[in-house]
Amino acid sequence: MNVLIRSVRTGADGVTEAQDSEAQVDTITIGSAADRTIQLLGRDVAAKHAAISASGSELKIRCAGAARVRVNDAEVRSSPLKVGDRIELGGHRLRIIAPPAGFDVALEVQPRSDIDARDFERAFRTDLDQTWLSRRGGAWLLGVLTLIVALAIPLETVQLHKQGVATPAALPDDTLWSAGPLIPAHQHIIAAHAIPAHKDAASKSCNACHENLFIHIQDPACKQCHKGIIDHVAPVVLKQTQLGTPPRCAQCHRDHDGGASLLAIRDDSLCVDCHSDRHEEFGRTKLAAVSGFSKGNSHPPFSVTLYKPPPDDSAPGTISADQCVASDKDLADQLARWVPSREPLKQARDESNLQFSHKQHLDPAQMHTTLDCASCHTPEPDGEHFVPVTMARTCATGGCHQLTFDARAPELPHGKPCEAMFVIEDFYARLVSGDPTLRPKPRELALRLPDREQEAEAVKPCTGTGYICAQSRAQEEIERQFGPKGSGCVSCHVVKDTHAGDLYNRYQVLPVRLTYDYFPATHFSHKDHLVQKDLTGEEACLSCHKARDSARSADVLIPDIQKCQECHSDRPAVDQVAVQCVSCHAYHPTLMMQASRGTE
Amino acid sequence: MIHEGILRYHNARYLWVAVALLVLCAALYSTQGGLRPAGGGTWQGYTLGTLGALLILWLSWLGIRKRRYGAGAAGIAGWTSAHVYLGLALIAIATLHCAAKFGWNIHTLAYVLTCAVVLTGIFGLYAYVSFPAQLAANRAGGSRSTLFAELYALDQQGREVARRCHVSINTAVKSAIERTALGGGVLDQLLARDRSQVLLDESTDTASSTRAVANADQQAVIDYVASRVTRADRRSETVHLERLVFTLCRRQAVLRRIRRDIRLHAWLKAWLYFHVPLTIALIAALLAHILATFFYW
Repeated sequence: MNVLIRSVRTGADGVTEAQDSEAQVDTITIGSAADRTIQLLGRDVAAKHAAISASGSELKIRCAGAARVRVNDAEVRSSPLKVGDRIELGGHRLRIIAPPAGFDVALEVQPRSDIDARDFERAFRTDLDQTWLSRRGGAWLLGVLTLIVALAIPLETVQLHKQGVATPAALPDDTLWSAGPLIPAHQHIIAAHAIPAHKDAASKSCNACHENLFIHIQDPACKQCHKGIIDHVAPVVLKQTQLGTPPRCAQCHRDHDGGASLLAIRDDSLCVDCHSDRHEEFGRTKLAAVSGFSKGNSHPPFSVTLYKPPPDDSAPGTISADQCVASDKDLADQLARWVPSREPLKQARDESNLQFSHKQHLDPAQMHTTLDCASCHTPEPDGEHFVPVTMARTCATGGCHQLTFDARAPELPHGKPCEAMFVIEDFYARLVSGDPTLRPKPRELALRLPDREQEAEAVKPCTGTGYICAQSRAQEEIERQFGPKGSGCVSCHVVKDTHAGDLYNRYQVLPVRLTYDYFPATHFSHKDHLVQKDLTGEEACLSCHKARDSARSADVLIPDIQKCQECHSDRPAVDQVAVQCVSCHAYHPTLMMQASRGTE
Repeated sequence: MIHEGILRYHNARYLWVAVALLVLCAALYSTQGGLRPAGGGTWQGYTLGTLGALLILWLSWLGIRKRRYGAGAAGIAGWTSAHVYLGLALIAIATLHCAAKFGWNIHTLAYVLTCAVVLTGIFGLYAYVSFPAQLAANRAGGSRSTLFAELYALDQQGREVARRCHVSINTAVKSAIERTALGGGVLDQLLARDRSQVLLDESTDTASSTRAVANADQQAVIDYVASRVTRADRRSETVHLERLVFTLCRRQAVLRRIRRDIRLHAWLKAWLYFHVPLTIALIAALLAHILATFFYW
């Protein structure tokens, strides 16, 4: 609309003069701001105070916000206007006058005459406080928003999740409280606990483990999955102590580190906090004090676990010739009756019932072929144990030890002494009767104990019947194999002479049980010790195991603790590899399943 | 001046307090490690976290305390000095507390807000140290009110002279005065944006009309009036026009000072509109962080 604005001023000389200006606007804006159609200054005039708009021929004034104007002496927020109406705001006076030709609206403005510089200054927004910026408003907004997003909504979703109600994936939930990512296995478990109705809720169920707010994770939550864990102190033993309630799983096992750290506390404090002295709380349980693994007395000397035959196991029932069928199961049953015994390493003697000299086997001068440790000892895949040494798998390989007593005879069956006697008797019976099928085997295939070759040639002449001669020669051979002065089976086996009249029952070859694991409750990686400083291979083995000096199988070739401490300490040092308690020991006892192996 | 004293207060007493605190915290942090990795969950982590939280609350309280002028100028400088140095130390303490482990969670939110608060504070410190001198130089010993009073007087004078000139000059000068923009919105103040306008006569022989054109830095109106000096009809009008140009140029100089004053003042204050709300958000996040730690511990 076309607006005529007539400013009426009274000059210093008292003369009133009017000045017209025109404006082409849609709305006549009034206020103290410089961009208003009519700029009026003063403390009581807002920057954007009021506006006059026209709809058709009707005029209307409307105030902004809390501003008010007086129209014909009545304070109003908005009001229709007509020609002649008087408007007052902040001491300024306006009047609607009849518009001259060519104008839609005409206004006479009579500004306050006492406007000073301060009112003038106030007409401008010169401070950020006068803008939309607000410290208080911003503080309220951000503070409340943070509390709602980080606390209120997640708390509500926790309740909903507990009731099985799915929440939209976009809604903040208690994963916001997570201290860090879980290890992959635990992420999987959380997914398994997720609410099935809502796929996106997977991996969002913290209460799979955190069951209640402000309450630590309880063991049943862990044992839902970890069922086979054995307590550090068996409940029966715990009753004999004054140790009280054992620690919760989560006191040692921490997650939310993304697997960057290990899930369990591996610090030595895990052990030595309790085991550094003999706690009174241990009660009747006798335990040596341990304070670490450095030189000195911080760790007790080693003890090894050996299996020994039961004292009453030496007199099996009398067997007759027709019962002479050796059963693997009988042997296994017999060995299963052996009892473990934990002995200090210094006094420990192996009672394996095997007669074997490491010294001889490692001496090239005494051997047809050069042997090293790996010739007989094959590591298991676990890197810790060795495949059990057996006659078939170890001694007989490479043609070393064959059970041949005559070049024309078949090999004796190993592990079946009764059957071996039958084979000997049968051979001599056939020999005496002139069996044409008996042919000497090629010599190179008949490797035997070296001194047997000449011995076999010196056969005493026989004067009796063929049967008697055969029996006599068989008996001699059996004596040679099993007898105390013999050189056959007795070379390696302990054979007990029962002095029974019957030959089958007279000699008992005692069963052999080699120790598979001297430390069934601890772990030791042979694989990690294949290289030791400048030693490797054979030398690395022999640096710990003094096999070259051992002529008897009773020797336990386990090094003592001082040997370990040459290289290891519980703290890092020059030329020392740090080890923790848990490097060898487990907090949770492992099942001694492997200890029963190695009995073939 | 207060602002210069912030950093050097009592031989930077609080700098040494902050350094000593950091050395202690670093020593505590270094006792972590081995096979139990450093983090907020160790006893050292809890200790550093408690220290950080107490520091946040104390610094927030200092923010309120130092604005109470009852303490006197020396008191304010002391409080502010402590606020600055211990606030800077806070970032290091918070980093040691969390062992620089971050994630999309409430704990890292608290850390990020801590950094945001300290960074806005660092800007505030820069503003307090460098802007007051610029403000004083710009005001040339006066105050903003003095500048506005001068502008007001020049406006009155301009109007008076313009009334005696040709109607097109009168319209131009009057409109230039009325449509002079100072300050305004947030960006107008921070960037010293000048949205002033002037109505210039574009009358032809047949029709009279005016047009609003941009009058940034009052240059348009000065040019308009100056161009009329040589084309004045009468000698008396030339005198008026010359006075008018002189007045308008003085006015231009005053407006420049005022605009610069508003801009510097806005920057001096702007950081507080972030520093304060972020502090409150930080305290809220801190509450959530601590509660969340004990919800699921």
